[in-house]
Amino acid sequence: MALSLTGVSYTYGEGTSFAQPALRAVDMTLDPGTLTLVVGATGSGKSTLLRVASGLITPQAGSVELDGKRVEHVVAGVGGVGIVFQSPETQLFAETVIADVSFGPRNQGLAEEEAQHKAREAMILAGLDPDVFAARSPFALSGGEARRAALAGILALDPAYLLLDEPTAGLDFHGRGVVMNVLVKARESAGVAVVSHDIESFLPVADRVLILADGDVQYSGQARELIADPEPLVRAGLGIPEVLSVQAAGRRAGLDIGEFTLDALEAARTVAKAGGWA
Amino acid sequence: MHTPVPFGQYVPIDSPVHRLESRAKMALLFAFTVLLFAAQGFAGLAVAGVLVFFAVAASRVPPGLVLRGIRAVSFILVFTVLAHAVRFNPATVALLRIGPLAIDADGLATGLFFAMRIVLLVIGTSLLTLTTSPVALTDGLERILSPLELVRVPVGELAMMLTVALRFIPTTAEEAEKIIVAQAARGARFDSGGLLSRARAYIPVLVPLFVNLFRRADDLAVAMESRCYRGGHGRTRLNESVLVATDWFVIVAGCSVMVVAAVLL
Repeated sequence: MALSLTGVSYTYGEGTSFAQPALRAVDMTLDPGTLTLVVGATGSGKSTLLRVASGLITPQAGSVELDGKRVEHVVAGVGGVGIVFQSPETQLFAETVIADVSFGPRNQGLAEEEAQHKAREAMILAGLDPDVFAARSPFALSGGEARRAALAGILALDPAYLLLDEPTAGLDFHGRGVVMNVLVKARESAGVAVVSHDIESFLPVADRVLILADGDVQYSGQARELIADPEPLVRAGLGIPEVLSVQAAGRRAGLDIGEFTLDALEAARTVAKAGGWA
Repeated sequence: MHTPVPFGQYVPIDSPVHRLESRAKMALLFAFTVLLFAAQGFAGLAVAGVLVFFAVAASRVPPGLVLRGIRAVSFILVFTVLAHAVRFNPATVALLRIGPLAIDADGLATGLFFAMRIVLLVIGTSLLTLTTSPVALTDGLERILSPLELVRVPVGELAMMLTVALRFIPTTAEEAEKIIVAQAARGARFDSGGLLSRARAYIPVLVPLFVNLFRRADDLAVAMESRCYRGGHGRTRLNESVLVATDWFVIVAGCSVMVVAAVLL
């Protein structure tokens, strides 16, 4: 059981003078119950990777397999692949939030009542109280609420794999926290892949990390290995979380700092202890 | 990751016709239209045909593109010919009789004449849009219409509206594509069912598309105002397009030929 990409390559406008390779022989495996963070500079192929993984575009080389079956188009059914694009709140359309969220389940062929039930469950998972928000217009929501409504619209499809492109971009501190919680909760049953520039927020909750550069996989490994040695992030020009910089600086200054941690308090204790200040 | 969206009809190549100033081309098109409508017989249309043939050849635009416009009006052409040619039970000699219906020579000639006129008009106007960039076109239009400012027609604003509308065609196409993909990922189907259900399938695309466009229009208005846009009156431009001697020569020569033909033929 996994969503696996093997040797996937994709070139935009192949065969024309505009040809632009976006992915070169990329491997990625998404297991249920895990969260993979995909990072890389702008234009490194992250969004294309999600589009290929969802079946929206077919790679020119390599294959995408959903639980062992080859994916050739979008699988929007239960147990399929849900994809959340950048700024999904700009794609809301219905008169009420509940009608919008239940759009997917209705397309899956569920009866109205069942679709509504699915939608309400998804809203709760997305942190929107159905009793408060179900009857509201999606165009009268705040940015953070609209983002969560859009997320609920995908969660209502019951996807086994969830792909998200910059899910926290443009949200305030509180909004980011809520979305993070939604993703961590979704991971309990689904395999989640997140494309984000917000390494600081997602590294602590990620299981695996994939670093892309110019369509190539530059690093693929466990998140905790990357935390212990954040060098690949630096090499990719992505910058590392502040709390890791502090520990790295301490180590360079000759302090005996053991395993790096992303927990600020623990890091402060370690540095203070190593420096003989505590 | 951008695929170039075909923008209007403009074919961006270099040719003598492309280099002509847009106002010169508009003047010629105007004279050409006058010739088409003033001509009384096939001789006038023949002159127009020869002129437009040389213009198309000089423009280096693939003839297929020029003729594409005709396909769009093919129904009108067939209708025009038939409406003139087919008579009901004529007393005169007919070329072909099918029951009470008949096609007669006079009618056929008239029908072909009017159809030819439409074909030439379509080719002439296509040639203008194929060889003139949309920006040059609105620019030229603004300059030609500028005398109307005296009677308080907001020419500058109209030209700005046209420019903005043209500018947002590719943006809107891109946005629509994005929304279609997003709704497809939620299981929406756009290619099944009857006409009505297909039209209904596009509601989830059109609503956010329009909401986003209104939002964008609002942002654009604020951005323009914050950069001191106060309407078109008295605005200067970065690239002042001028009519050079060649333009004047082509205008004068072309228009005189066409006007003379219009009067004589």
